Amino acid sequence: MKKVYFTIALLALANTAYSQTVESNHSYKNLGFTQVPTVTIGGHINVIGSYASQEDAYSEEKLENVISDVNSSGAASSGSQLDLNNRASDNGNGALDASITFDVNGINDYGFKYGAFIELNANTTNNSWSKDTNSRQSYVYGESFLGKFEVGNTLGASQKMKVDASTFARAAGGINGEYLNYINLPSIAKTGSTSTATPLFILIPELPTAHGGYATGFNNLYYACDENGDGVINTASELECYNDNANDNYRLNFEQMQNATKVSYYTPEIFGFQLGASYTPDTGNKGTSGHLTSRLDAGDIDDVIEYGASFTQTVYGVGISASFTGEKGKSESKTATSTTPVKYEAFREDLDAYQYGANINFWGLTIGGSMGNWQNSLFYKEKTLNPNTEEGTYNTYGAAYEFGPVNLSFGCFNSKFQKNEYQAYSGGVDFKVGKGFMPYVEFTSFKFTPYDTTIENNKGYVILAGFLFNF
Amino acid sequence: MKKLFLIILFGLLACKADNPNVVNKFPQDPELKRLNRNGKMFSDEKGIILFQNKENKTESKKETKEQENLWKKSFKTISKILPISTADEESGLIVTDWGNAKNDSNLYKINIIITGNTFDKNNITLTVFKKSNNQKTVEDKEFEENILNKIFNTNK
Repeated sequence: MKKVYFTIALLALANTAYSQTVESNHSYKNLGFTQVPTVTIGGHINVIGSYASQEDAYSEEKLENVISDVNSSGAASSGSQLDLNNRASDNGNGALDASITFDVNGINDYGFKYGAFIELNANTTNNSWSKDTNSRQSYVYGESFLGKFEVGNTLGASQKMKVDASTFARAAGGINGEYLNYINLPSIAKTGSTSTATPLFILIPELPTAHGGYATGFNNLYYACDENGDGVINTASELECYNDNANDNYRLNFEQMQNATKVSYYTPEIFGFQLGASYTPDTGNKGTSGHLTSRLDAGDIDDVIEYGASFTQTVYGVGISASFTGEKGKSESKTATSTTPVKYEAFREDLDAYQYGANINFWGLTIGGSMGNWQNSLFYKEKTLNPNTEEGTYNTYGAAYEFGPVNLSFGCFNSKFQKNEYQAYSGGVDFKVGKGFMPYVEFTSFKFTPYDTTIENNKGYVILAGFLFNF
Repeated sequence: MKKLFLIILFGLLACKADNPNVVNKFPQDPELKRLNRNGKMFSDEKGIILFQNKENKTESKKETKEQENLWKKSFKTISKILPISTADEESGLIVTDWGNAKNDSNLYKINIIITGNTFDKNNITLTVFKKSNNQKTVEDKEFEENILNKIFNTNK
């Protein structure tokens, strides 16, 4: 790992130093070494009306099958009722998402650009994607002829460089968009060591760190709180973890890892080709130093390297973009294997996942798709603790058409994780009324097919209509 | 991994800074990209500029003023030669109708695009087309130079 640090430090220094040797076109050299940076404020407000319909099994006010070795007061009690509330039980809802961005940009007399970017959540409540955070991302950057460095809490190279059917989705974001906030996940929980496993699904076309760290099911705390790797929540520490987070049990929390503190480097586009890489020391480092400590087993991932290669080019009016991205890391989940001296061994597999995709654009029409493979990332090493060992895979495909101010898109997402299948189809239309103002309508149907036959299949649809105001 | 980074670094060093095939364009947050695809109310890319270097602002205003002057002077000059068909100050475009601009039997049409911000000959693209009855449309370089001289007051 020292080599990685050394290389990144070398590149950062070269990036800054080399820029000093490049004669810039900048014409304010008589003003001193640097100019006053420009500060730009922006943001968005997304007002959303929704109607959701989901088959009964997952849409009751209380979950049907929630029986666990953790009872409602937090004590270990095999077979007791958790009595957890479900998520959205109403069909019709109104919601609003908002954010404010601050973009600070400076340039020195030699053409070296530097700055910072902060995106604050401006919601009246927390949202289900990013839990309680008040900022979605904040980072500083340096940019020169040699490329761009980003340091801070922001997305990594694999997420920023990926190309798939959600890249061109319109309206509310389609298969990787807002609709997931309006559906309930399968609600069965484990019942001690003899139970069937909670069905976990890949719900969005992302690699594990952008998917909250692992596949998602209603009872994801079994992943985060199983500190000794026995597949059961029953120790005092595990119960404490479980109950501390029980109220957030139903939240999706896809964004809980993706903004971990990292350093990223992107080359310039050279003949349309671009490379990028990010390094995250610990996905549990998500902000201030006051939150640096994490549990020995908090489901975090250490030494995450994200990488990406992309190609973007326009040939005879046909735009082509393609990418290959991936991520590697080490599971932080460890358990003691001896007492004197204490030794720990990871009980989950390492992270190793990748995806590739391409889009083609011509005459206002865009078509594209992608494939992703999580392999056996973060599975229990003890194979019997996994429901099965089939790799997590997914694919997307879709099309979009731009006709003046009207934009249409359609996308499809299929995934399989340990033989639990998830499928979503989404179609949307948006209309550019004026600069920064866009009403839209979107319809998305979805279907869960758990591998465990004791858990019912479930399907439904979500209709979203709203308007996006961007300033 | 280290070798890969070093190869990239040396590859970039080998490229020239002014190589048009090397573009400082970097990937963005896909979520923000989606939200911004319809543009922003106050600008297409970023938003409302709160603070900016005063000198930068002054220079920018000066350049805008000069650009306006160049457009207005061009408009004033060629409107005396031929009737204007299309003119747009924001895009810097001025197009005339076909007409008889000289005392001959040929028809002329003038296109002007203001391409830069300062009152400079390099910032104006002027084309004069000439069409006679039995000939193809050709460019009249001499007339172009004549008009440019009128715009920049260099006629003797």
